[in-house]
Parts: sequence; structure tokens; C-alpha cells
Amino acid sequence: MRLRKAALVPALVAVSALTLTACGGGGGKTAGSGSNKGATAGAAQSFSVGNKADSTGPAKDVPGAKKGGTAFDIETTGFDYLDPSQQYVNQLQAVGMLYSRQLTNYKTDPVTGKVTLVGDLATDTGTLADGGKTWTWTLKDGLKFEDGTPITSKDVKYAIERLYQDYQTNGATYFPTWLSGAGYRDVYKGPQTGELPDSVIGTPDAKTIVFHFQQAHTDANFAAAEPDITAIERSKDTGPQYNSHPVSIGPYKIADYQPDKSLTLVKNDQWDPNTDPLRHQYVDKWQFQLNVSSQQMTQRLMNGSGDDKNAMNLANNADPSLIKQIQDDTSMAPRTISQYTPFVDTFDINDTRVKDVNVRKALVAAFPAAQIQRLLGGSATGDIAGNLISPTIAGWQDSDPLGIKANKAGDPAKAKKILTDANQLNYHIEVGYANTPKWEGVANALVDALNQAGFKAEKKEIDATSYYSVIGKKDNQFDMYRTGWGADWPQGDTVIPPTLDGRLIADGATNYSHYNNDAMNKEMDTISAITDQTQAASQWMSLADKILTTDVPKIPLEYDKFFNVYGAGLGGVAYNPVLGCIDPSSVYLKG
Amino acid sequence: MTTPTEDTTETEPVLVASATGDAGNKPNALQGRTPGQIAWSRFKRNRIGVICAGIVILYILVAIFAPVITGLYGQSPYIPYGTRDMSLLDDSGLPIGANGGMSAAHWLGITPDAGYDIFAKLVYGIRTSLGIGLLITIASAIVGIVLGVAQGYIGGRFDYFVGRFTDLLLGLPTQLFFIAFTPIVENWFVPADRAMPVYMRVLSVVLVQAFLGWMATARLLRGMSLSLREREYVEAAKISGASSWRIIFKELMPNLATTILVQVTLLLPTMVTAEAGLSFLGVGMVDPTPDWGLMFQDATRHYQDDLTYLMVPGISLMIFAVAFNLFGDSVRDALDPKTIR
Amino acid sequence: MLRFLIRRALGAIVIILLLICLTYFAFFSLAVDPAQLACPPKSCTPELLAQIRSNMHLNLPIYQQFWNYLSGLFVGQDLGQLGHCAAPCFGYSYNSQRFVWDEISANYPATFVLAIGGAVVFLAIGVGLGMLSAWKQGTMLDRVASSISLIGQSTQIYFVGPLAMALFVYNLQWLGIPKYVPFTQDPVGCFTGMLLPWLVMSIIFWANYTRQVRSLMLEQLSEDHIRAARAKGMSNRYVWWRYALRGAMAPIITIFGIDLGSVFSGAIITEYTFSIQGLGFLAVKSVNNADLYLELGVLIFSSVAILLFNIVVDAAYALLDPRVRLA
Repeated sequence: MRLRKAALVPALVAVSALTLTACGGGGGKTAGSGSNKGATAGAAQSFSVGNKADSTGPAKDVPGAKKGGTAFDIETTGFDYLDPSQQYVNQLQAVGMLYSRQLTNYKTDPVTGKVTLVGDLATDTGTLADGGKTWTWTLKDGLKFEDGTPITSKDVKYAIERLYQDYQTNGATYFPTWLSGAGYRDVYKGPQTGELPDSVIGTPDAKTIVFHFQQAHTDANFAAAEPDITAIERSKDTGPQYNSHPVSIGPYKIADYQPDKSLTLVKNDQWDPNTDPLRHQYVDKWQFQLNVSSQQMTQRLMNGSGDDKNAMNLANNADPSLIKQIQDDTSMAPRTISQYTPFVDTFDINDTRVKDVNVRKALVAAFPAAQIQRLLGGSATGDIAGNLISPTIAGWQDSDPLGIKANKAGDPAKAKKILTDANQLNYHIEVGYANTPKWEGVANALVDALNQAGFKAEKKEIDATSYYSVIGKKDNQFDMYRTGWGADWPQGDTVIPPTLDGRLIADGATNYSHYNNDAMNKEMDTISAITDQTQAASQWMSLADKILTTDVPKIPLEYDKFFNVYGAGLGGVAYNPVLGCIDPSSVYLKG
Repeated sequence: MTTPTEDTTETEPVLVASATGDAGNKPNALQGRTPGQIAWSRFKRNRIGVICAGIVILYILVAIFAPVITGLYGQSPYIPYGTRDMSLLDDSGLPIGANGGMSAAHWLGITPDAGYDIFAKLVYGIRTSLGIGLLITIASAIVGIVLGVAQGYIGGRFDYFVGRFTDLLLGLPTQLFFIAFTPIVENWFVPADRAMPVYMRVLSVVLVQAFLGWMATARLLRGMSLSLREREYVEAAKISGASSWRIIFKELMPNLATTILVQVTLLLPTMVTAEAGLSFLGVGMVDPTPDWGLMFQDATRHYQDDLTYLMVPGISLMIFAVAFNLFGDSVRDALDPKTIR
Repeated sequence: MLRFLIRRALGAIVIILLLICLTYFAFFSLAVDPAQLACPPKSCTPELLAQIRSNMHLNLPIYQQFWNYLSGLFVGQDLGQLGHCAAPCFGYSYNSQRFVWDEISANYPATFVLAIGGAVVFLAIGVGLGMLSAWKQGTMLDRVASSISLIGQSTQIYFVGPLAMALFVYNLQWLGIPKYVPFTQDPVGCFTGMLLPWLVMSIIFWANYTRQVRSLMLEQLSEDHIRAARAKGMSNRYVWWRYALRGAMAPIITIFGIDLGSVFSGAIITEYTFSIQGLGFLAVKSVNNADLYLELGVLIFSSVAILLFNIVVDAAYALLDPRVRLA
């Protein structure tokens, strides 16, 4: 039993809201308009998987970059975890770019905006065998921990073994699950109880690491970019306390950390730029200020007085109340980033309860997309979505199978007609919402629109911190609820099967609409087997649209956007659309 | 969030003619006027007091007749006009038009984001906050009167222990206590996984705030009844065999009535603002219940792009508090001519 | 004097013990399982739950838990795998994964600086305005001073705060965005960063002092000893400062002592309004996360702090007014 939580949202103070969409909400103008970045928002085409040459350091110099100085960062929350094994949300992954490294990683080009998946600790993005059941990476030469100890394949293996421990609850679980199955914690209890056998993770020599997955996973090169696939020095591992001072393997190391207050990073002299294809060490020091209110963060970045001139924010959107000012001030355009994130917000219809497809169609017809978009912050925070795939994902097309973009404000008369024809007038709908002011407002607007369209709608609050576990219950008592799904890497297979495969329906599973259609499930299997990624991408896209038109399991709402300014004194600020946040690894001071 | 302390109101007790004792001893009895009439005539002469009384009554009428007012006005505090009519707000959710969208239909404009009618919200907000403030005032006044008079009259060990308990509560950081305990008290009534009915929320807020709201009244009344206890007419009543109840209700209470009345008029505005403060912090009322504090909470989010919105609850609450404070002062002056102003 | 202080301190200790007892049982004798609350909702396993229970000694009967908590405050206690929690041990916050005391000690300076600075400002303004009113009794100035005080008293920190921010920070740009910098780190920055919060916070407190000082001064000036002093030919100024003000000071200190709790509350609302991280921030965080130990720790710490300040105020009072020492 949990205590009821007060929705304490003091006016000028930001209290972090925990949702899956760590980076959802905020925003800019129309796509890319405020940005000086070459890439237009959501250009999935600018993403590629790099080869060995791309993975070789040192990183290409950013034109005009200077060395020295202190870069500042203002965060609206604290860092939940600095321990890379516990990092998953994009804000943490972004700060991790400065002191942690993974087997593979995303190289963002601050000039062209191109994103490339490259080998980071590894010499390339990995080699697969057995159709993807066995993956092998080779570590680079010259890798060291911040105390000078060389990094070996055993340290990478140890980092994976660490994830099996009970307290490791927040990192991505792809690797342990693929290696040992969903109940991986029952199979193995962590490094104190001995090593994982070579048949699971082999380390034939100090440079080579071999993973033996239980099934084929052709996208393990992407999963290896998750923050928890790193190297951890066993002698320095203090369990849960490791979080307060993780050992650096990147260009910066932690000099001082006051949880919820500040973080200071200084140069790590054991980091060899020749091993690193994507990071620079331009600034001498990074100074993070934590837990600043959203309004203050935005205002300070806008004003840029004093140190704030050299300040940025990693993953938050500008405060909604200041977005208009930023848009109206053309002088801020060169230092504004307005780009798509991988997140798509949807309203999921609980198919277990709303069985009549006509009712679901009426819900779509009545759906007030434009009103909700405005409540979420207008076109700055996101564009109205026509489908379920984010523009940052390979194969995306600007389709509108349900006619949501064509009829933004909803059509109560049409919805009423559908309901009347189906003899379902005054159909009862329970809308579940997370009890924050923002989602409460959205729920109010939705309920009001539905009631005008012949439904009998009601809203019911859900505790914001346990929102996803409540709606994740198979037998939840709601008919409609909003979810935000962010793909972990830019492939359609990270969106469609996890959210729409009916065989995955279970308590806590991510198929929140409980959609189950055998024909569609079979098609998913067929597409998963396709090895040509381009072909697979377009097939995922068309399958997603087909599911929407046939069965309407959920209503697309918004493609989330990242919108914020950074200080005029900073150069090399790159946006990583795969993560939906800023990549700080090439940042330098202009002055 | 200061509650009135004894120092602001402590005055020599005014002896009002009690039913059993010295009725008719006062010279003014010759003119055939009761002390109440004297006070009333004195009150009428105080122009500021009368104006403030008018304002106070206006607020009370607004609170009582909120549904009638909004009915006549034609707007509801629960309808998001901005989402029904997309032309009322701009793309970033701000009201279109001067002064936060003030118009003939929406007198004080509409709120950003959803476009609720601010006037309707204010009228209902006054009703909620004033109502809850009144409940808290009554609850804390009753506790304060009972404990204070008992302390003064019984004295001894009881007085000592209640006195120390008062010290204990006075030492608590009120605001922190409210923040920490309101969710816990709510949990006593309704398990976390159930929906919380509005009246339960009200009850919790009243309980928590009344628990820390009675001490000033109790201290004041303790001091007064302590000194009254020694008066000759009480002694006389005791000797003539009157019961304790009779002495408390027939001898002490009439002489404490004015103090209690003054104390209550001064308590009410502080309790109303305290309730608004709690809702502002998020531990009081919640949407969609219209509430003064919630208006602040919503408006302060937008103070940079829609300052008009913040002015509405800000100024209305300020007028309310000024009027009530001045009203309280003039009531005291009228009842107690000896106060130094 | 010493005896008075000792008596007062003993009384305070009893009150503190009572307070800890009261709050502890209000928090932990509920039908809520503290271990369940501490367990991260997304990934709570029975093993983790059992671990938390044994670390926090939640398997013991409640009175024994209370004894552990109470003694931990003074001598520290061992919390299983979490290691030794040094005194003053307020327990462990599973949410922030730190000892509660570490959290509190990192946050209380901001609140103290805010409360003390705010108190200095409102005492200065309140007493100053009060004296001015008494000096110019019945003039326009007197009426203006009392009107300002009345309006100040009737307004709200969370109303004036945003207004002041909009005006002084964003419009006129006289001040930077308020922030807390430790005094030891940057005394000037500490002052400029906190100036606006101090001023805004002080507004609601002035009025009482202005009014009290005014009437106390007037009362003092009509006392026999002052009239005698004047008759002997002492200068007006000398009489004012030497006799009248001193006589008025003692009751003012009493009022200040009573106000301490409200000053603290005011500091918390001011913290919210200007998003300064102090104890109020911790309190909100702990309530949001249902972090019982942190919640309790902040509550007890603040109450004890207020009580201690009260003793200091009493001592100051005793110094000023010798009669108290005899009582």
C-alpha cells in the first residue's frame, strides 16, 4: 500500500515528474525553424551505422573550436543516477557521455547534424554470427580507468554481471534478458556469487568479449550503446554507494558531487583522445547546477548573463510560459534547438473493455487533438501525429490513416453519428490520467470533448509516480489513458512489437492497449525476419498504419519535440535525435 | 501565516453586566442603553469600520450565493471554454485579447491553457476558501475556548500540562507540519488506492489546521479567566454555592464574550489565507474544486506571460484581508473603549 | 541568569522528547508499511523488502523501533548493510540513497540564511517605521506608515514574490534571479542573491512590529520616569534612545519569540516562491516520494531549531529585563 501523494507543485519550483518520457514536453516552432542545425527535424535519413574507420579516434575537430574554460549546465532536476549501470533516461545518458563510455555509441556531428552508430570502447559496432545469436566486440588499445588501470574485456563482463544484482533496478535490461531470459535475476545473483560462465559471456583474451544470446538479436549493436553496457572497475565497485562517485573512463571525471545540488567534472588525464571517435576535451571543466526551476532555467539561458552565457541544459524543454518569448526574439534563433525526439504520445484505448470497434472509431472522430496539443505547449512541444512512428525512426512517413491531422479539433457530430448508428449512444468512458496539473488539464479537455460527442465520459486520477504500473495492469479499470513511447534505437522493431504484439499482453507489459490480432502478430514475425533494414523499415511503417485503420487500438497524439536555447558563448552543441537530447561531447567555449 | 497572538489583542477585560451580579451598577444604565447598544452606536461612528463591514458582508454574500451569481452571469467555473472555442487562446495557450482576454462574456478574462472563466472561478474560489476558513476558525475557537477557560478556571496541574502542550505546539514549524501531516491524515480516512471525496479532503485540512490553530485563543482566554476568577463577584458566586458550570457559563463567559468575538474576527482571515496557502502548496484542495489558493498556484505558473491572471486572486485576497483586519479592529474598538489605538 | 537558562533548557528537552514521540508514532503507527514505501515501486522484490526491513530494524516491535530511533539521534545506530549511521542519525532515505542527516545538513543553511536575514530586515523596517510613526504621531507620515504596514500584512508572499520578480528582475533588471550562495563562499553574492527574498518575506511581518513599537513608544513616553528625565533637561534624543526604546524593546523581543515559528513558515513559502533549495524543498520532496524518514527528520530538526532559537530569545529578554531572572 502506498501513501497517497500530494500533488505538490509549488508555483515557481519544478519538482521532477517521473514518466517514461523523461524528455517529453517543452518545445519550439514548426520543425527545425528555430535551429541553425543543418538537419531538419526528424530526418531519419541522416542516421547511419558506421564502419571501422568511423569508429577510430581521435574525433574530427569541430571547425572553430577552442580549448579551455568552464562550461555550465543548468538542470531542472537532480541526476537520479550517476552510476552508468543505473542510467537509462536520456538526461542521464547525456551527462554520462562526459565520463562514461559504452561498447558502441552515437556520434553526433555538430555541423551537419548527422548521427552515426560507431564502436566506442570497441573497435567497431560488433560482429554477429549464428544469425545474431553470437556477438563479438574487440576493445581498442590504450583504454584506461581514471586511476590508470587498463580496461580489459573482464571489466566489460563485470559491468554486465553487475546488472544481475537486486539493487540494479533502473538500467536497460536488454543484455541480461537476452543472455539469461526474463527471469535473469533468478539464474544468477551477481558477481559476488562467481562469474557468468563462458558459454554466456566469453572473454577469450583481454581485448575480446563474446556474448551468446538465447535468441537471435540482429540489433545488439544498438543495445550495446545503452549506458549500462560499459566497463566497471571491480576493485572500485562499492555497490549502491558507487553511484556517488563512479570511476571515469571518458574525457572528464567527477571532482565533486552534491546530490540534487551540483556536479563538477574536471579533465581526466587518463583518457586518450586517440581511442575515442566521438568525444572532445575542449573545455577544462563542467559545472552542473541541479534542481533549478524550469522557469529560472529558461530565463537564465535566455538572458545569458555572467556564467549563464556559457550554459546549456541537457534534455529539458524550455518552460512553456517562455516559449513564445523565445520564438518572438529572432536574436535567439541561432542558439535555439527545435527538433523531434523519438517519443510519440498516444491515447491508448483499452481493447479489453472497449470491444466495439465502432466505439473506438467514434473516439477517434471526437478526439480533440489540436486542443490537447495546445494544452501540452503548442506546436513548440510537439506536432500533431498522424501515426504511431516517430519522425526520428527509419522508414517514417507523414501518413494520416485515421484522419486526425485532417480533422484536428475533432468532429462531435460525426462521432455522435457513428455512436448512434452503432446503437452505442452515451457509451461510458473512464479516462485515466496522471495527477499532475498538465495531464489533469488534458483529461478535462478530453472528457469535455467526448461528452459533447455523445459519450458519457469521466476522468479518474492515477498517482503520477506509479502511473505506468497502474495502467500496465491487464485488468485496469480505465478505458483510455495516455502513454508515451520512445524507441530505444531508431528501428521500427522497437516500436511496433513492444506496443502492439498481442502475445505480450501481461501485467506490466508495454502493450497498454491490450491489442491482439493474430493476423497482425504473424505479420510482425515476418517483418522481424527481414534482414534488409531499409526494407524492414518501410514494412513496419505500413503495418503500423494498417493496424490503425483496421482496429484503432490507440489514437496518435503528438510527435514530441525538443525545444530549448543554450548560451551564446557555447559552440559545438549537437542534438542527438536518437536520444532526444543534447550531446555535450563536442561543446567548446567561443570566447 | 501569523495567527493573532495575545499581544495584539490583550486588553483589560471589560466587565459586562452579568445576569446574576452587578446589573445596573453602571452609570449608563440610567440612559437605558445596553452595552450592546453602546457598542453599536460607537461602531456606527467609525466610518472605515462601516465600509469594511460592508466589504466583508459582500464577500460573505458572494460565497453564499456563488451558484446564483454564476448562474446569472452565465458562465461555469468547470467548463474549459478555451478548448471548446479554439479562437479564445493562441497557439501557446495564452488568452487572446487585452488584459488576459477580458471581454463582455468573460469579465475578468480566461485562464491560459484551458480557458476557464476567471470570474466564475474566483466566485467559487471565495466560496471554498471562505467556507473552509470558517470551519477551521470555528473548530479552533471551540478548542481554544474550552481549553483556555478550563486552564484558567481549574488551574493547578491541568493548567500546567495544557500550558506545556501549548508550548509544544507553538514550537512546531506550522507550514512544515501542514505539508507533512495533511497527506498522512488523508490516509487515515481513505486508503491511498481509493479516490478521495472532496468532503474528506476538507475534513483533513480542517483537522490539521485546527490542531495548530487554537493556541493563541486558549492562551488569551486562560489569562483572562485567571484574573476573572479572583474577582469578588466570582468569589461571591462560589461562596453562595454556585456550581462550576454555572460560574463558567453565567459569570465568566459573558465577560469573555467580547474577547472571543474579537478573536474570531481576527482568526478568520488568517485561517482563510492559511487554507489558500496550503492549496497553493498542493496539499489542500485539488482541481477541479475552485479555490483561492489553487488560482494562485495556476497563475504563478504564468506570471511572466499573463500577469493579469495573477492580479485577480492577489488583489481580491488582499482586499478581503485588509477589510477583515480593519473590521476586526473596529469591532474591538467598539466593544472595548479602553484600547489604545 | 544561569539558573533561568538551565530551567528553560530542561523544559525544552522535555518538549523535544515529547515532540519526537508524538510525530514518530503519528508517522509509524499507521497502517502503512514503511518498508513498502521505501521499496522502489518499479522493481520491488520480496528480497529487497526483507533487506530494507532488516536494515531499518522494522521487524522489531514499534516501541523498540522508537527507542532505536531516539537513541540513534544522540549516539548513532547501525543500519545493517547500510553501515553505521553517525549521530545525529535520522535514519536513511531510500529514495535519495543517503542518510537523512546528510540531506538535512546540506539544505538547512539556505533556510536559516533566509529566515535570519528576513527577520533582520523585518525587525529593522518594522521597528524603524514604528518609531517614525511615534515620533511624527498623528501626521500624514504616521498614517502612510500604518497603511503600508496594513497592506503588507494583508498580502501573500506568493503574490508579492512573482510581482517583485516581474518588476525588479525581468522588467527593471535591477537584481539578478535570486539564488542561494553560501555566505562563506561569497558574502556579496549571498547578500545580493537573497536580498529580494528577504524583502518579500519581511513584508507580511512588518505590520505587527510597526503597530506594537508605535504604541509601546507612546506608552513609554508618558511614563513618569521619562517625564522626570525630560524635566531634568535631558535632550529629547537621549530620552528616546536611552529610555523609551529600551523600555519598548523587551515586549518586542517577546513578540519576536512567538513569531519564530511563523518566520520559519514564511521562509518555507519564500523558498517555494523563489525556488531556493532549503528545508522546504526537502519537505516537498519527501512528501512527494512518501519518504517517511526524511519527512520526519526535517520536521524534528526544524522544531528543535525553533525551540533552541526560542531559548536564545528568552535569554536576550532576560538580559534586557532583570525582573524575568527573579521570576
